[in-house]
Amino acid sequence: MTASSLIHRPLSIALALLAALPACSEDNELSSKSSSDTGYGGSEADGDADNDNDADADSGGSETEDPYFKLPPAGTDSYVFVANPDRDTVTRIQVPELLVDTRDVGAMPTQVQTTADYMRAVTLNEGSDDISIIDAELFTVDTVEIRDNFNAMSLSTDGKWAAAWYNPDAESSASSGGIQTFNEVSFVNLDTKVHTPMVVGFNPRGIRWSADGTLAVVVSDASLAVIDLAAATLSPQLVPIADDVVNAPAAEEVELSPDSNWAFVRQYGTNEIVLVDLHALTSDLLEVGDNPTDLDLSPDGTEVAVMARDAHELWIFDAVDPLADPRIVSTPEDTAYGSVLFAGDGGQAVLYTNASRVSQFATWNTTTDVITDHSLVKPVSSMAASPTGGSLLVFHTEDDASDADTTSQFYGEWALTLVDLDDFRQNPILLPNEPSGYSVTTDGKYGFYLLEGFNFLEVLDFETMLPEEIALKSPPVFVGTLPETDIAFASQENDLGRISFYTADQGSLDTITGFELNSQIDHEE
Amino acid sequence: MKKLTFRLTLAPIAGTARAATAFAAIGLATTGFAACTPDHGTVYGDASWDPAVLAAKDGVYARLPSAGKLIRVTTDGSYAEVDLGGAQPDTLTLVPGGDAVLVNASWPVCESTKPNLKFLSDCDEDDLTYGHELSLVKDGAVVGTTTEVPYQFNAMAFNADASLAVAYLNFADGAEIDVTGVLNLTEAAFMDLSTSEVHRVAVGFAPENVLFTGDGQKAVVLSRSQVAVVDLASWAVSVTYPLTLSASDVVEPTDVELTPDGTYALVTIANSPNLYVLDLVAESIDIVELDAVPSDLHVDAANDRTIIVYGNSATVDVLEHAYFETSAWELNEPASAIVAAGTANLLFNPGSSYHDVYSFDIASGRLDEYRAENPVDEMFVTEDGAVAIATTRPESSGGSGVSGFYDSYYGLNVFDLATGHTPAALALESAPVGVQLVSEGGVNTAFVLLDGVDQLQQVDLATGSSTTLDLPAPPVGITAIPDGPFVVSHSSALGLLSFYDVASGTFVTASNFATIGLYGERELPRQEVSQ
Repeated sequence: MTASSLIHRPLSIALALLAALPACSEDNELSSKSSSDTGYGGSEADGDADNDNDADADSGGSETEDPYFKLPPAGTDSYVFVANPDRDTVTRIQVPELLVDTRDVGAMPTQVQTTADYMRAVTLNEGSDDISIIDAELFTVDTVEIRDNFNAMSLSTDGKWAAAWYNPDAESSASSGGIQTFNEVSFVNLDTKVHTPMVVGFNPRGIRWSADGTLAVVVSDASLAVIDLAAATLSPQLVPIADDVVNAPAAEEVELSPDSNWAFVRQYGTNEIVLVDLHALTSDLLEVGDNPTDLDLSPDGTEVAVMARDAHELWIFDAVDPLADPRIVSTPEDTAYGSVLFAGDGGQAVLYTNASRVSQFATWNTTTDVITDHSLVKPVSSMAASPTGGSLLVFHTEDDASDADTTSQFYGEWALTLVDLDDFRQNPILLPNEPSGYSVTTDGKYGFYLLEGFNFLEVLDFETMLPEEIALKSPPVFVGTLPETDIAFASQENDLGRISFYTADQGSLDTITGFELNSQIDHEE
Repeated sequence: MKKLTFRLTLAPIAGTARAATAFAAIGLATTGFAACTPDHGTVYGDASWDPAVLAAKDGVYARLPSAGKLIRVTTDGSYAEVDLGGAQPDTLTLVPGGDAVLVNASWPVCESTKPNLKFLSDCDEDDLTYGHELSLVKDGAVVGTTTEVPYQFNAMAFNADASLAVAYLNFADGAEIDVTGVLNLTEAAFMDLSTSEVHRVAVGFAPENVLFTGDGQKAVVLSRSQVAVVDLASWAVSVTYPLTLSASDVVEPTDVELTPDGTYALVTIANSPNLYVLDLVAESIDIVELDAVPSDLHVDAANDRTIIVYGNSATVDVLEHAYFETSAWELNEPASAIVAAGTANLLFNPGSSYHDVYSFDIASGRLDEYRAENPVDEMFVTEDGAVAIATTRPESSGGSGVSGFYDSYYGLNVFDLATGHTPAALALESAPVGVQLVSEGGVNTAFVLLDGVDQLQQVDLATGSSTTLDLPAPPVGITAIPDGPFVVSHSSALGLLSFYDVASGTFVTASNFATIGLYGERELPRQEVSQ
């Protein structure tokens, strides 16, 4: 399984991945703005369909959120970048002009990501063991060697750093053979193009970048490696997060406090949260209720919420002073909610579970701590809140609850539900097949998803709560949005490359086909 | 040297039916007279003369295959041999505008040491080879010659001012390609007509179609699976556009048109609904997937749109040139060809069983349907675009009365494009040999030649009434000298041409010109005689 194949077939593969690899958690592919709100894995799974970048997998291994359900647009507000691993090139498509240009990069670029400031795109070139740093505007390319055999990449919040490592849980598209280690990370300064390799803990699974761009935290099986990005020479400082380094519980989620002082680590199968002092390089255990299945940072960064499913409790810690007594909110005893999803500015959050077939969710007023149950037509597969917090999108499982009405139109069918989070109106939509991708515009007005086997871009208007179908010329495989615009793009099956751009406000669709040919245009000097 | 001849036959390709209109430069020799002029590439073997004459400004050029000579016949009926230095003209190409004629000529060379070689019959067949040259003929004389253009290059295109010609191989229509020695199938040869200087450029395997950009700076060359752009200053390929990513996936481009600003080349592909849009400025490729395999497309410069029709789909698409999105209009019958008619375009389906003819105005979106009585063969439009006439052919009919009667005849249908009326549907005695339109004093007239009928039919297109003019012999073709009289070729072994001046209504006849060199033994020209 390659990184790209994960992207193209997100849901089914994600579920399989999570079933096999419960330790996998966050990735940096959730956001159109690259790593700014990412999890700690370059190409690893994020467990949720929300925007909180957590894994949300419970310690019982059955609370999942679809890691690739929301796909990463390799785009800026003006360009979309498409890696062509077969031709060692990257194609840039200028939007809305749809001007196409192509540049050579390293061999076999398997990932392309864009920095949060939209200034650069970066490819991880597995065939040549390097990364290519692409100036988005000038479309110039600088290639920097990294350590061999890496297959994962993450970009820093401020767009100044790239890190690459080997993720044993993801397929490598190329291997240079010879010796191989599993403790290495390459850091590349995207400004100076200086490469700094280093050894961190065993099995680096992902990287968290502090919001202020001063720290990087590499998450490994039994330790965190803290790297001061402001130092003249980068070096890792290891902080153990498990007493038993041989059988360390896998870290499923890591959140950094906005002040870059603390890291919160939720591990598989433990009833505590590991709190790491990123400056003292020490760790403590924070007690939480039984079976913590989710850990989320509130949108304003002031609080860290831990969902203790078996205890039916929410534990809320002060993100700045996490050693202070937490606030504990009881959740309904009759439903084992295992995931928490902050909506909009965080005044409201959604509680749900996909570990069992439960056709309901709850809203949590984070000011009053009042929790209210809401019914749904089917159980939850995953959820996503619009960026403004006004709407909730619920993707349902095909399976039904045990007490489901067998005469319901939705029984045994795929479905999704649009929920207005102000008045809780719902618009459940019967789907002909499984959704296979989801993205949302920055302003939260429109959501887009794909359906397996159907040549449509599915559009959700979050203001009217009405769906629309836009016909495409061939089966779509990838959907994304351009940040700061209402433009969605859908790449499609076509030997020569096809991508469509849908401008939601105008309702217009533009398609370019054959852009892969551009990499083969022979320009005489 | 062994001389091999083989026939290269390609599968039918979309757009070839309209090759004459696809490349205005190529089609200029027959523009407006496609129905009336025999194929200039036709080899009449040992015929005394080839009625497929070319009408240049300075007269009519005709090949005399049996004698191996080229003659010029002038409008006063006189004629004279063009001195090709003993070479025989194999093919003729009219330079656009009619200022000159390009003559592909060859001469026998006897590679024998036998003494006193003088006649062709003196040479053993095994010792016989041929020399080849391309000559520019004007005012009855050779004004330039080159041997740098491979003689097998059987197609030519010209730039806008006809100062530059490009020769290449055309494999379409089962063209017979002779290979003696080595034939480079990746070249196109550009010839400066003022200096006869030739630049041979490697443009890709089997170049089949060439189009010059409007600014005259570049040539767009279609070849197998790629399109090359040749910089005409450096005579080098400046950019090559691939049409496929796989070498084993052969893509045959069939036609190319330029958008009015010259930014984009629109390339159709054989048996494919894909229309490749090549950005010649940004040097990038986009593909517009059409609903069917296009059979014809026409760039409407005035409206900056391209019209596309499909032989197998009753639809006409209009492609805009900003985002290359199409808008579709439904037709009652498929149309496979487009002919410009003033501000509108005529859509029809030649060679099929369909009768419909459509007048389509892009600007207004107005689509008018006309109905020919019988299936349409060819379409002609008056210079002002006001009237179109279609030649039709008989069709099997179970009908009776006038319909059944008309079905059994060739016909001529007149369409008044201004009023939308069909003022005349004429039954013809025999198959039309050629049609020529004249607009003079606000009166549109068609001159029609019929097979085996030694009369010229003169049809008033407003009323459909016709009169006849006697000809000295049955006609086989008609063409016209630029700004001059019509030229009618007649069936006559010794050569017979009639010049008809419409203004004066007078005929001048030239005859017996094929007797030049007819008798006497063919000599070996340019032969160094061994003593």
